Amino acid sequence: MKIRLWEKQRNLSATAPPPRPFRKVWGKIWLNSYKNFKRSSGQRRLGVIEAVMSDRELIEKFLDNDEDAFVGLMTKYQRLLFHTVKGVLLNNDEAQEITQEAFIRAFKKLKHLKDPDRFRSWLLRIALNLAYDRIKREADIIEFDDSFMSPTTDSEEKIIARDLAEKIKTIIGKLAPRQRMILSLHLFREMKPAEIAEILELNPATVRSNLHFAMKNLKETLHKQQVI
Amino acid sequence: MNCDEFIKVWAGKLEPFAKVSPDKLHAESNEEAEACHHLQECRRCARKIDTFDFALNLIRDEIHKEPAAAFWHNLRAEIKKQLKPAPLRQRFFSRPIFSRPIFSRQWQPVWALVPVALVTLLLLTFFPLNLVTPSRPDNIFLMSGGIPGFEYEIDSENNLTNEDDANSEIIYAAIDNWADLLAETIEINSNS
Ligand SMILES: [Zn+2]
Repeated sequence: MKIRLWEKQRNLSATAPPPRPFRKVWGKIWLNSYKNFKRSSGQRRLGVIEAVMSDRELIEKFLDNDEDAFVGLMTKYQRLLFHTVKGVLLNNDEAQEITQEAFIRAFKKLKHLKDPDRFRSWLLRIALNLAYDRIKREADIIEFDDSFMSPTTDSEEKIIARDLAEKIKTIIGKLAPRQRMILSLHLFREMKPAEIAEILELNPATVRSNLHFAMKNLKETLHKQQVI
Repeated sequence: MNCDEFIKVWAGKLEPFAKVSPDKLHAESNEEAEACHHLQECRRCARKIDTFDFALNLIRDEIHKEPAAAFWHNLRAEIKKQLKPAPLRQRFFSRPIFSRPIFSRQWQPVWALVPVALVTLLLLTFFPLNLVTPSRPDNIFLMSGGIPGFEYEIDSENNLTNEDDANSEIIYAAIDNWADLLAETIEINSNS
């Protein structure tokens, strides 16, 4: 095969020094690719990002399509969101689904968030609204973990407590959705009424009365069932 | 206060009795103080409350159980996948071509075909079909140390066969951005 060297290439005179071999060029390309790869992996610098950056900074970077910021926000809030939702739904699979949906909604609407410093409450609100819709649609979604229910080597005290725990879960599952949500956040996530009110954008007095009523309902039902 | 009365008072409380400080207790109602007193005296009620708190702790432990390591990875990957915008091609074709009546004055995607059809018609009118097809080489070669315009011969393995070109080097460039690579090479050469 015959080839003709590209005519437009810079004319090289006979005295010009020999051009550098192409390997250098390949090396440069490889280096750039490696830098991009390192950048996209994100994980390495995560500790620094979490420690140094505020939510506001992470959000600004996320909106600039910075992948590290996405990973940073996820890492910072994924556990909070998942465990809070699981505390309300008492179901692992449902909690996973709602957490995923909540993050997707939040990231899609992030550019509309007016106060990025309130990201935490805003994210929790999105997730808890989804969880609320879920328990409104179907109350009986509480899962019963086998390892939780069938202890064989536990003390009598623990066996009684496990049995009581199952009854508590069943009674909570039958409460009105709003009461269920407020009571679960208080009992299992140990949130104060003021915090619940802020996240759910409810009047603190409403939260307190719902909580009081739900707690009374739970304990009196247990007493009526002669469990307590 | 008997046990039933105690349970009634306890049922209305949000905080466990143990968390109420003695100072606060004085400020509470008599009923509350009586309940506290009953709790100190009645082992049966004390055990009931302990069991209730123990049960709540068991549920908290279950809720806060850490999922498998792959869980967070998969969650993140799934969210990332869902956040990625659809490819341009997919977005274009997902729109109905005839979204409005064809003679509507408002823009619709099918109109994009009109200039394309006109240009194609024009090209086909002035150029015979075989001339429109560009003659593209199958392979692109990059070469260093060669003379512009000079013809070189290569064998089937892309080695130079000209005898006096020992200092030249030929590289088979099978990458998409070969033009950038060439430009970069020229830049390096001009700097050296
Ligand atoms: Zn008693």
